[in-house]
Amino acid sequence: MKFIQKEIRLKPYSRGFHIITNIIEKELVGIESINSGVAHIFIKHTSAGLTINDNADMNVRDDFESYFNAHVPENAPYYKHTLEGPDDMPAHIKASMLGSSVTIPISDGKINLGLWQGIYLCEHRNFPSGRELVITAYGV
Amino acid sequence: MEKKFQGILLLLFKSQHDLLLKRNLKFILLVLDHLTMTSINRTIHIGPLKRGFHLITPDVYEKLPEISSIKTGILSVFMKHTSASLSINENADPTVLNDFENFFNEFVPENSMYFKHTLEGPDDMPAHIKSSILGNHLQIPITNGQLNLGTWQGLYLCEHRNSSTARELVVTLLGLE
Repeated sequence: MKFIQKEIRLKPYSRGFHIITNIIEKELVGIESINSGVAHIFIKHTSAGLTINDNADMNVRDDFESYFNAHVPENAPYYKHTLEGPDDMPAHIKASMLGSSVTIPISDGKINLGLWQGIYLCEHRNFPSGRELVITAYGV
Repeated sequence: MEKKFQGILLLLFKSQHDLLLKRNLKFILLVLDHLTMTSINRTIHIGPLKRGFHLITPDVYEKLPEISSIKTGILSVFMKHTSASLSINENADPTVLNDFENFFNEFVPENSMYFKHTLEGPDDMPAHIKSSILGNHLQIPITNGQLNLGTWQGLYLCEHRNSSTARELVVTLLGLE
């Protein structure tokens, strides 16, 4: 059984949904020797998330942003956690809805995504800094 | 584990000459891998907690102290219920927990006219939906004996029922000691 773990910091991305599959693949050095396993990507933040979705049409990413903005509104009258700006509490909620990690199978030394699947960084803050990720790959 | 490995090496040095050791090196490395791999699987109970969002990071550490022995690994936390959920979010400001509860109550309202699953009360079907939206399991990396969470991250147990019993969770540690 092999375990590979590393931490990386992404460059700051603007608010919205962004494909980071290439970056993750580049960072997964050493998984060539894993025939059968799992890669786990974890984001160490509470106002950004990770998910897997369409990698082909940029409109999908824009639609995701619009959908989540419409369904998790800013300035809800009952929000009390408002000190860091109107985008902050919605960012926490979106982060929990979309999740803090993705788990992807590793088959024959490569992450085994579907043809149209990509890894999304979901950035919910207006002025984000670089986000830290923990990548853990394990298998035999 | 390291001691065990050192013991095996010493035995081999003592009993076999260098050539044989070289031949067996691959086997030794396999043994090392096998020896250092650990998996612990345990059922834990948390609560009963009142309806709302609750930080449970200390409970997880308390009920699974073996986390400290894992150098590199993954913790999986699985909720064995359909009307409560697990999430990771802000651990510092308690108003975040209230805002989550208020948001989800508005986002998944009770008494929707199309709900048919109403026998267990108006909070039941929304609880199931919230549970599926937020999810029933978490996976967290472990690094040097600690959950490798961000500074502001905590584990949430999201209780969606008005009254419930303690929630049953399965925690699984997988990693190298």
